[in-house]
Amino acid sequence: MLAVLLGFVLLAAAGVFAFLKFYGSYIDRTLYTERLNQMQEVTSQFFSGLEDVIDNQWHEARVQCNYLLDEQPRTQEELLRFLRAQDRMHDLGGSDIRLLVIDSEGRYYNQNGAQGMLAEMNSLLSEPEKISFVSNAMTADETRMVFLYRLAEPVVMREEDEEYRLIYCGISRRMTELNPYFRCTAYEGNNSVYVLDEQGMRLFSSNGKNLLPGYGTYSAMEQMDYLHGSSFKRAKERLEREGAAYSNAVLGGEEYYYALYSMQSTAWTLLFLVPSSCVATNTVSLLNMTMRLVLLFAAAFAIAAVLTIYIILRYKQGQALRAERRNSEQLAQMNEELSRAVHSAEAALMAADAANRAKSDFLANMSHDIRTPMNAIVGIAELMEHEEGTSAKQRDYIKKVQNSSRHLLSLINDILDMGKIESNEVKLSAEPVGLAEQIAQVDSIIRAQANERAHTFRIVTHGIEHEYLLCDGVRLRQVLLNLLSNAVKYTPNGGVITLDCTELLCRTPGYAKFSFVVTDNGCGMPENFIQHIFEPFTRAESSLTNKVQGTGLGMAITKNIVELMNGEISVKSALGKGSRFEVVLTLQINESMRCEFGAKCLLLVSADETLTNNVRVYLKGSGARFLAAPAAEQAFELLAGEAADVVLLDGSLCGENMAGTAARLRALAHNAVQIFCVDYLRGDSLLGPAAQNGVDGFISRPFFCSNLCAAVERACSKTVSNARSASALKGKRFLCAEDNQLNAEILESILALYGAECTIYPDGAALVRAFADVRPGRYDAILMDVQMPKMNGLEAARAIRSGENPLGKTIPIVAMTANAFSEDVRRSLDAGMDAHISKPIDIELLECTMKRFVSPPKKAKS
Amino acid sequence: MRKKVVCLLLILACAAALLSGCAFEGTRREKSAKAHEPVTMQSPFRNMSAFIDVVHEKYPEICIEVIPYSGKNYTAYVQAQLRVGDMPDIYCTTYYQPGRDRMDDKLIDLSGYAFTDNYSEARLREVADNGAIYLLPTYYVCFGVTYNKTLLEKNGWTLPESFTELEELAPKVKAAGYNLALAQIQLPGYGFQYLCNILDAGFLNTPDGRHWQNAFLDGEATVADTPQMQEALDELEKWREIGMLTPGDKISDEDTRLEMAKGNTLFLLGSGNVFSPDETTDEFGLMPYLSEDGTKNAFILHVSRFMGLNRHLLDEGNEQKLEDALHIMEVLSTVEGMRALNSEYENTSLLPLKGYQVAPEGYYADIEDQLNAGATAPFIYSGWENMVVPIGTAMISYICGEAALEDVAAAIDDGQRLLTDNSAAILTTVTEKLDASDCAKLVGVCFSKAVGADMALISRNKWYKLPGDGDLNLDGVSGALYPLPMTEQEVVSILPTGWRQTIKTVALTGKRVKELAETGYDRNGDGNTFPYELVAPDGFSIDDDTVYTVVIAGATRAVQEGKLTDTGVVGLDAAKEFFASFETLSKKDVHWD
Repeated sequence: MLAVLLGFVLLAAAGVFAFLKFYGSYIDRTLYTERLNQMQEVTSQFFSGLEDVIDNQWHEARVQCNYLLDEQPRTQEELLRFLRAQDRMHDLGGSDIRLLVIDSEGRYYNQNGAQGMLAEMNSLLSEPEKISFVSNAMTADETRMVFLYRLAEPVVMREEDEEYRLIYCGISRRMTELNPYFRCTAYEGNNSVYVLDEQGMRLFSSNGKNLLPGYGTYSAMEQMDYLHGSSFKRAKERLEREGAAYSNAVLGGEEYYYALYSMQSTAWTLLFLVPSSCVATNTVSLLNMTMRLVLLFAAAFAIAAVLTIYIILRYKQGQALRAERRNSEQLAQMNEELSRAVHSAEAALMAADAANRAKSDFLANMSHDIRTPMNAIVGIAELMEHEEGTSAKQRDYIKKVQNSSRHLLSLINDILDMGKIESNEVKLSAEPVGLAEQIAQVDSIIRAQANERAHTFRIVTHGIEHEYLLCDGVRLRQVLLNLLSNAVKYTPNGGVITLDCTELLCRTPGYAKFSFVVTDNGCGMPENFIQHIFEPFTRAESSLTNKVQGTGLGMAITKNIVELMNGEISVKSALGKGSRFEVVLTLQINESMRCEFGAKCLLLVSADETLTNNVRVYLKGSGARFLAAPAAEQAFELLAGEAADVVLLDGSLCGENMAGTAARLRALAHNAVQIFCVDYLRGDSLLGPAAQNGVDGFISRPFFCSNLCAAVERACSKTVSNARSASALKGKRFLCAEDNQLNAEILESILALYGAECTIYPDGAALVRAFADVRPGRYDAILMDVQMPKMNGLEAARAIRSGENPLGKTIPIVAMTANAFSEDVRRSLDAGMDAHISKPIDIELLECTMKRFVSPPKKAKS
Repeated sequence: MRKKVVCLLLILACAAALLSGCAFEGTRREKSAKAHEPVTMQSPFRNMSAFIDVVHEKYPEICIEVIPYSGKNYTAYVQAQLRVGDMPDIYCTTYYQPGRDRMDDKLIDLSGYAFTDNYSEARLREVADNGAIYLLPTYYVCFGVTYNKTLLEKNGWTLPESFTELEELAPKVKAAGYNLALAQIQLPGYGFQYLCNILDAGFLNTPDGRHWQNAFLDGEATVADTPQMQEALDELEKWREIGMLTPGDKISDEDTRLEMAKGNTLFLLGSGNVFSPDETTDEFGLMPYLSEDGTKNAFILHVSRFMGLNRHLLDEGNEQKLEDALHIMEVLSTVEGMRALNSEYENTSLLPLKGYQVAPEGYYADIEDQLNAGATAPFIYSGWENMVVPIGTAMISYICGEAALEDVAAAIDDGQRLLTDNSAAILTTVTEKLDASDCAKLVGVCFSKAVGADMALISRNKWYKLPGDGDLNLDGVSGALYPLPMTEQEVVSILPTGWRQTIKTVALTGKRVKELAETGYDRNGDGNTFPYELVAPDGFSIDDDTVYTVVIAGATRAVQEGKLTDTGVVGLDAAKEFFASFETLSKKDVHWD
């Protein structure tokens, strides 16, 4: 408020100042004009009076001339007598008037008898009719004005032989005689008068003190400070033009008004100088009084205005203060409520964090605590399933237990996964992954499920060029398994389920884009459910789905994982017509891994365009020639003319005549050819039927180049392992660590079931101690439980890898643990383990895992 | 709180103002204490030490650098300065005719300065130039006829008031065994003066006479065609007949003055009329040049010095010098200051200042009334400069009986052509300024060649601040030569021998020559030496033991023991012949082949 008031005061002051300045300027100009006019009027009379005085002098001079002419003195003595008589008669001496007569020789005569040479003789050289000048004595301080008339006729005098001719006559008077006339009563005698010559040189000044410095008055006047736009130059021009000029200027800090006047009766210029304070004093007084009154009223008005505004502002300020106080109270109250809310929120957050941590802990603990007994349940159920003498009813009960336990495990896994995902604890790991192996694993799991439901399950690849990738294989499989398992579950028996794997065009260098499409002809989903399909704990309600066991979390988990992998998932479905799920993922290519196809020329005998295209895509980057024949006859013709290293026979094409076709082809190639059968697996048969059909090997579909390379290599090395017809575990010896007695028993039994042996230690420390003495070849791999007392599996793995036994650096170590999260996998791998399988132990997965260790994938040559 | 802040701010503002004021004051004091750039001043007379003291009494911070001159033609020297525009800050000259030459581009208009209020308006009117004043008058000298008052009174004679009365007195004086008059004739200018002064008591100081002067200077009148002028010239014969034009010493006016001091001569013509008590106890007075009937008696009024300010003082950067110069003019424009400029003139001159009282002891106390009554005539010089020497020479010859009156008239009429064509009088043309040292060398070469001397020791001038009436070097080279045509006037201005004196030589050993060249000319015996310019032929080697014939200008008694010899060769004659041999004259000519 103070600022506002101050601002208003300043504004008011500025306004008053501006008004006063304008008023002052106006008054100043008006006063100046008024004063000039007044001075002009006064000095006009004054100068007129002076003109009269000078005219009187001329008159007197003229009278004396006339007298002289009348007298006509003949001698100097007569002249002197005449002059004295004139002096007496006219009392010239009393007026200090000197008669002056000039002769042709330049001598002068006056009534006092003085004679001499006229000092101003040069003034008479031009023989003027009349002349006036100011005369100064050589040393005496006397200034006299002289008025001379030229005599119409010279007066001739004679002295002896000399003739004197009187030519001028007149008078001279002291300049000080003019002083009374120089005093202007209108200004009470406060004026000064300077008598100047035509060049502005001072001849005489009325007062003893010279206001204007210097003999050259005009020079001094040029140096003065002029006001109101006037100047000496202007004044001088006006003087020359009009004979008079008026102006004012500042001299010695004081303002003066002056008038210049060219006298007509003599060659003088008069300078009339008066202080401005003496000019138009009445007018000035009136204006000053008016000014004071105006100032007084203005001040009073300003004060009143300021007071009024002050009061108003104070009132408003009070109002504002009260409002502000209310607002402050409200604000404080709100702040308090907010604080409480914040505290509540913080408490809630803390509770939520605690709950989350509790949940995570619970999940972690629960996972282990539930999985462990679950492991036992599943394991025992499996043992029981293989026990002899079990009745059909018992086997049925065992089956149901297995199903229920699998479902329960699935539920647990889903819940744990969901929990992890919601807690943003899911971390993807990027590890070398072979797409063929991933598809094979998925195939092995789903196919079993599909076979149970008599579904037709096909996996078709399309133009897979990049098999070796860097991604989270576990999550990839999880996504595919979720989708495929749903397809299996929600398709009535005898349905058709297809997994299409297509490599799409990818513009990102170093990456490959894949489309995984799961199609079924199952029950489909209603439109309104599709919108919610990816929400947790949602399931379509139908008579069919209600019969299907599920957690309602699979799709939510799948979507979250796909999004984690920066992919996209979409669904199309219609009730009764089946569903189509597509997952598009962009995965990093593992540049360090590549299949080496050693053949120079490959002949494909197949009418399957998909297969033909897949093989062509693969060979495009290998450098080998590709020949395709849609039928055997065409193949024969080709092989007659071309030399092929490898021949692929589509099993569906050759059928029962495969042997003959193979034989004929081999003959045509002069036995310099490898022939493989390419087909989908039928049941569990792998290579057995192929070998019996005269081919060198079997390549299962979907077609992957890695499978082709592996088959070619196997054929070349002529090592058709009989072990492939049996479990990969047969004959293997495992060193195991399992702290749970029951799990240990189960493990041992299952391994024995598949022809494997194992030595089980109760904890990691014991295993590490035992391993120290293990010799190469004694064991094929180590199966390590992770959570164990004394030394857990991770520590044991590290100890083995860093131990003194050199075998520790190469022997495969597989983690077995109920902790199935990717970070668990990561920790296991970081500890030096080679693979991770979850518990309850999946024997097929173990077999697949062990196959890796038996025949590792080809590495690109450096 | 706000009030406290405002109060604090006000206190700080006041403190700042106080401190700045102190600082400003300190700065102002510091500025004023800074040494002032010297103001150069042409010395109007030889010694102006007293004037400098008067200036310093009021303005101690002012520095004055005196440009001394003690040569034989002050007028030519200062006139040459003005013509080429090479004047000191404070300029001094001897003759000035307002309106004749343009001054506004060389000198400052002084009419607006307060110190001009000290002058008599009538005196200022005489120097006013179209509303401006460029040169202020200082000393008014009244040229008249000096008379021995004591001799007059002793013999009961009355001072004549007309030429008629003088004619009556003359035989009485001679009968008493006294000389009627002596005339100082060392300088040709005196001859011109006497001619004009005598005629001023007659025709020349009448309106017709002034008309004739203007017409003559306009080339429209001559003596021959003016009967009045011829009649006026006849007055000269009267003067000579009665003995008023008796020549004094041709060479030295000083000797003429000393002769007058002996008290055997009643009248003296000439300016050298100051006598010290040591020289005579007689009293002297001044008588006007007398007209026939005494009605046109005239003292010739002459301003001996005019002072002005160089216009370059108005240039940017010269503000301090201008202020100082104005202060000096302010002091000069007082009775005390003007008197201090040359106390020698105190009794023999009038000051043009208000409030000035004629010195009761001087010449003018007795003639003050006559002066105020108008018994004066203006000094005739301006416009006649080129003719002063030939006319003056003719007049001196007439005075000496070596020429007739007609010769004087003829010299006047012949001199008229010099108004427009002065080329015959030009000896050479100086193309660049030659300072005193250059001039001394030239004089040395000239004199040595003229008299066959081996070398020359030519003394120069130097300013010393001397107490009392101490003098400067009258015997050496003074002044300078400016890039102008050179006539006799300019030559004399630098010649130690002036118009009539002869060249002197001494026989000195080489060693002695070197000593003198080193020590200088100790003229006054007070240790204030004036430097010698040793002038010898180019490449000449001085042997210590060899005795050389040395031209010397400025010889003390000690030097004169070296057989000071008057060669009889008039210095001016030698100089005229020497300089006439140059087509042009510049510094490259300052050497001895």
